[in-house]
Amino acid sequence: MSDHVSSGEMKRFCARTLESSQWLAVAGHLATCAACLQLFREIFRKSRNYAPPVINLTPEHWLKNEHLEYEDLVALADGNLDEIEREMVSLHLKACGRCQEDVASFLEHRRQIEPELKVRYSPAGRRAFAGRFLARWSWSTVNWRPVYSLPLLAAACGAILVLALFWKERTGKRHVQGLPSPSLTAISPTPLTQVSVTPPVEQRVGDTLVDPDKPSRLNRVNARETHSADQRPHIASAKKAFKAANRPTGQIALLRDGGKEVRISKTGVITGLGDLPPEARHSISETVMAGEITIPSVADELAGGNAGLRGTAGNGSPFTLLAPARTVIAEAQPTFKWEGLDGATNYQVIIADASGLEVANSGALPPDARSWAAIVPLKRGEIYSWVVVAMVNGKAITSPSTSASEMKFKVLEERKWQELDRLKRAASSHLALGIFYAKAGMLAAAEREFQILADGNPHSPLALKLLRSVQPQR
Amino acid sequence: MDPTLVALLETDDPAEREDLSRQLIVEQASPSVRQVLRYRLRFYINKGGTNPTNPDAEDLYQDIITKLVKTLNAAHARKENVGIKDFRQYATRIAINACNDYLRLKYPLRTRLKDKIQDTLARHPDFDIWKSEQDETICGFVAWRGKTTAGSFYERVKRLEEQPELIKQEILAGIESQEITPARIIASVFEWVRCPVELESLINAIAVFLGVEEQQFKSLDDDTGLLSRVVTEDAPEYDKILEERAALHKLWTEVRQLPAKQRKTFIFSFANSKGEDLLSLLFAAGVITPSQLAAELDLSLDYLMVIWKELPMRNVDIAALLKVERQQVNKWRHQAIKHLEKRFLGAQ
Repeated sequence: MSDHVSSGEMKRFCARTLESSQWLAVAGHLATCAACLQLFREIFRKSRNYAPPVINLTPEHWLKNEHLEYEDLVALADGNLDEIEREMVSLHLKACGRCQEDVASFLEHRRQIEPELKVRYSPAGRRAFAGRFLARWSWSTVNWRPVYSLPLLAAACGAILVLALFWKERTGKRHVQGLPSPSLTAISPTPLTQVSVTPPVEQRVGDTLVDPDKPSRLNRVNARETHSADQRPHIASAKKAFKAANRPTGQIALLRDGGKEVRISKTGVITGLGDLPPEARHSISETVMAGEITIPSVADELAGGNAGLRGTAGNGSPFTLLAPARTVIAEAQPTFKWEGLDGATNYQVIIADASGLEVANSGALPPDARSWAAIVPLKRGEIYSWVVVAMVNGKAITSPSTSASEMKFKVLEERKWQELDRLKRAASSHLALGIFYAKAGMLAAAEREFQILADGNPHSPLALKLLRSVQPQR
Repeated sequence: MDPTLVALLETDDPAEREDLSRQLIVEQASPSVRQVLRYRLRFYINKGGTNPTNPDAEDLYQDIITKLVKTLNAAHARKENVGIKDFRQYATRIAINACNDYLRLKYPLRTRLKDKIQDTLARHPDFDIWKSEQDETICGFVAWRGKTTAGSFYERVKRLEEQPELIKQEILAGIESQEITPARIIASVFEWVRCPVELESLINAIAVFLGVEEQQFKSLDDDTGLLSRVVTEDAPEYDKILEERAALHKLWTEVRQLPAKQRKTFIFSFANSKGEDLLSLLFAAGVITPSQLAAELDLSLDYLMVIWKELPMRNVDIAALLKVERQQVNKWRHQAIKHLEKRFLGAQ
């Protein structure tokens, strides 16, 4: 472009209404022509009535149109967002109701679909039937992966083999019954008198020749089978007595737990709790044998401190924060609850990490709000503190106040959360859950479980001891 | 690579360039784009590129063509093919993405359903989701991965696409309502069709079955109102009016100190409340000249002018330009904003 740009053309350039190639030509010319560049400046500023530009550098403003896409939802649900991404998502969600609904809907879908992932389908439809059949039964939730199913299959085959052998033995014994008892005719010595000796009666069980005098397993079985009907009840009670006499005397606990009878021996062997995960069994036997629960030090960490979230309110907390309160929680998206403050026109919940950095903010909530659920999952294993800011007569009142200790909580670590999930699926045991909760620092939940256990075992010193071990800590 | 595209990259004659661009757009891109719009959204566009009865269809078509023209201009300015081997296929991909964006914006409930179906397909061990050679998203049983729609079953696929209510009538007939779970619906469709299907076809069918009806779309202006209220109450400190040249100069000084990728991302995505881009503001205030800026950003002057024309750019376009993921661009920009917010307030 060799000619200078006219005013009319420059106006269309500034308004971006020139055809593409023409616009580029003008732009290229501006880069090399000081006069036309000056014309551009004048016309551009004039088009804005010489008003100075307004620039918004708030992150919220820049993120308001960054709606969550499918990949973002998956990363959020999987907990795969890094710190920057979580911050961005949190800021966007503060201002975007539609994305808030999208997140809630997607997380709910994740919860609902979990059991469906175990139902199998195939193109032929054969396994589909099996899947529908299995889905009707509670044991369909058993993990049928080879590492679990092969041992089960081997155990089933072994059981069938034992039963077959037992049945074969029983069938053979019926042939033995009814034969005359073996006897020997006494020999009386007479001089040169002919003596006759009755030979022992040959006994056979199947193809096996049995010597009645020889102590053999078969003989003993045979002998039992020859008892009369009158003798059997006595024998049964004798057997029971024999078993009772030989019961190991090293049992340290017997509890009714979740509708089952649970026994724990002195050697730590637990019976009656079904398929508990190994870590749970170990934890229970360790706790019961030690006679006490080791409460983790996290309780001290959550007792409170000062991380700089609070404002400049007066002494004491002006209104109470209810939950989560100085405990470990299982859910990564907790619901925060608080009591109201008279005259408050809105509330705002602010969550900070251990370094005092804000990680989530509810934004302005209506005056009747008393709870708020975190939209973005918090990072597991981390300690957080939270405050609620109430606006009263234009003044911000923060609870807890600066003079009160912080309201902290910890989100259960990923590994322990998975352990808890396995525990809940495996058995409905208040003992197992109570011990888990106590060791994880979830003392209120532990107390709940141990209370149920103690109510079901009113005479059990162990149940009472476990309950008391979590109560004084709170 | 397409010989017409090669010729376009090599020519310096503006008239020849315009002619070659027109060839690529009219002869290769436009038919593919119109086909995609017709197939995916039932939008009919005539050969003139218009649809007098459906302004949405016309707007969408024009947006796609405009994007393709920008790509050709960028390719010419950089003298490289910007990763395009087959322009027709590239146009199809751009059109498909544009349709998805349109559906997402216009039909949020359908988008929500799509996200859930995609997640189910990705997570269930017996289902799979993959891309065809034509860059379409296909789904089916995991054993079908990589296979195309079999000719003998093509009719079933067509029937499903044209009569999505078939799910209710045939596919799930006789099944107890409590057994109708999302995974069950998906498996039943696959068993009935007996071949991989396009994800969009599956979603259309399931949306009809579930009766997904779009509610009145809540305008984002409502959300913006809330945001501006919050911003007004909470952030008067950094929403200051800038004295034009001095303040912009200060801002530019801080922007220059950003790491290179953050700087480019911020500059390319910047837009003030009037939609004005940063380059226009800087040039108009005399803070910097185009040549100086080109040198600063290590770009040719011609290419800088091409970029200037596209500003402000969406993050997804910046990602394509910088050859990174959209999420990375989001993070760079966020880091830049946070840094500038702190630094700019400190400099004031």
